[in-house]
Amino acid sequence: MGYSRVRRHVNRFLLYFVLIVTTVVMVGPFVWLVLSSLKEKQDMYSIHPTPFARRKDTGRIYVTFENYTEAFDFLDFPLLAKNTLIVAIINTSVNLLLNSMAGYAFARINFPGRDKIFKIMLMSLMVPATVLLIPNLLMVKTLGMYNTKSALIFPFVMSVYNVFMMRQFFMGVPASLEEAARVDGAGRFRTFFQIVLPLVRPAVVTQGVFTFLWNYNNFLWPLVALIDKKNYTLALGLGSLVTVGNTRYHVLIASSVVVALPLIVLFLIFQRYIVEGIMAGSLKG
Amino acid sequence: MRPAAAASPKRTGIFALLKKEKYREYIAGYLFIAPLIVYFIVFQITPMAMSLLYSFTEWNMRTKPTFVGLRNYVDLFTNTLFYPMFWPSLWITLKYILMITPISLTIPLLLALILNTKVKGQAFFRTAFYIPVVTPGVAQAALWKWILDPKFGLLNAFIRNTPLINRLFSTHSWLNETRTALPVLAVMGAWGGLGYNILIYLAGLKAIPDELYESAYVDGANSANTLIHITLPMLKPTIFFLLVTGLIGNFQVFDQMYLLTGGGPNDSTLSYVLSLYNHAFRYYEMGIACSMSYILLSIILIITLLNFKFVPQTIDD
Repeated sequence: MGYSRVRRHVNRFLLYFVLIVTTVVMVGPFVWLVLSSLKEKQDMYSIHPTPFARRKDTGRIYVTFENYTEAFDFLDFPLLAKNTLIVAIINTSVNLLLNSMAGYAFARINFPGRDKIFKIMLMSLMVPATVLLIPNLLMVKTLGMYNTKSALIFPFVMSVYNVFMMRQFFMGVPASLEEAARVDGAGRFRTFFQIVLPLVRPAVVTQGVFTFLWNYNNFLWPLVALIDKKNYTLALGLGSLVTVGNTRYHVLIASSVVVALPLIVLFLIFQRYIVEGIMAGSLKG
Repeated sequence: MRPAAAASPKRTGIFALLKKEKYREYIAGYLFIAPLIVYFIVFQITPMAMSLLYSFTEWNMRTKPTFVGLRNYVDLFTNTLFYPMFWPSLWITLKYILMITPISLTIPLLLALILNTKVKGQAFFRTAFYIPVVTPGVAQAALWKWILDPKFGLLNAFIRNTPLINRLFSTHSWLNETRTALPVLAVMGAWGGLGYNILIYLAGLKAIPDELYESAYVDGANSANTLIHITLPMLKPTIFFLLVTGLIGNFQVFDQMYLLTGGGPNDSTLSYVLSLYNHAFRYYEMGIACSMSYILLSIILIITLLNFKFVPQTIDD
């Protein structure tokens, strides 16, 4: 009896040990990044780094923001942030509206050709984003959007994958609710906006956060679709710092904290939705 | 004119109303999907058709394209003098996949199994593991560039300053050596996607009915038995889902190679999409780049078809 209890304790200990080591491996680098960004140059480029830097003379732990000031000299963060937010917010709101409308039509409205159209859309899901890179660039050039913010917006105002996801969610809404609304004389548009859409709010929030994250993080497309620095996004601005092959880490690190931190905070706020959304989505899929 | 219409009083009654209602449904349906149709034609169908056409041409984007038939495809496959990196880039991508896939299938499974037991702080660990997934790829690249720096990087500092570890490992210029660059990128990739895979595994684990475990327990099965005979078979669809989506995603790996190694050292990390990017935007060979897109599409379609054919869509398979 004593033996099995000891073994249970050892097991527990091992489980937590694995989890904690993994946590350190997953989160540790970010903590290190933030801590390093708060050091002065000479302490940052030390061969024997410590988490907190100390003043040589007094031995006191200190914090400095001079790397951030220098990073702001290198990258025009207000402009980059403005561009990123414009693109991400427009794309997210338009996506949510149009994807859910199409998803609703495929789930609930009967019209000729509906299932055929849906099947064609599903087939297009097999075409990965990278394959569309050059085709879309040709299209964007044809439409005269090359090197403008529109190039970051129009090719992404909808997502077939998310239409599919919304359809799955709308199928789960009880039909009786809609019928009641229609008996009361509400048309399809009113039923959709006032009755059905509010019911799938978790799906909308998840999709909204993901669309926002995706647009914020997108790198390859802005890289090929933009030349002018005045339209650069945060990811692209930071990318230009990473690739130059320079090792001005104090600038690089402070900049990546500026770019990554807002997103991590956003995730921590919405993490319940995101986690549940992914888990529900994968069960249905 | 038509006697049938005039003679039928029903048509103006409830039947016409129904009919009108039916048409209103149709119109609503089409209005709801109209944006999707426009989007689909403008940003999916037409561009795909355009680039298919250009894949049969030689085109540098400045002069007019000239039609060359299948030459781009044939040259990519056979002319190693003009396109020396086509086959190597495919091989490098495959090696990357062979390295990243085992890591990103097994470690998240282990962690999901642990999280699925009654450990405290499940939500905390889930959140912590997911943080890299929501971090911009560019910020991840910056972070790793700093950690892997031969002189000032955390990894080498750790190796240098930890007894025993410094006996077992030596410090390296990790991204500048052909031997280590690609494996390091694969580990970074697996690190970035670990949290997502854990969540998918957890969803799969939560879907396994408890009764299965209970009856196994009654039969005296130990935890290794239940893992092999219940958990893994029931997780088959989840594992295949992660395998196939992982394959498709990793075939397109680009960001970290572009940002951290630029394909080097010695072209050892030149992935297929990075090579495609180079052809399009460094050598201005749009025709070749379009052909490469279609070759990539074919590879991914084959993976997808194999998936439908061989992968159990339900657990009973």
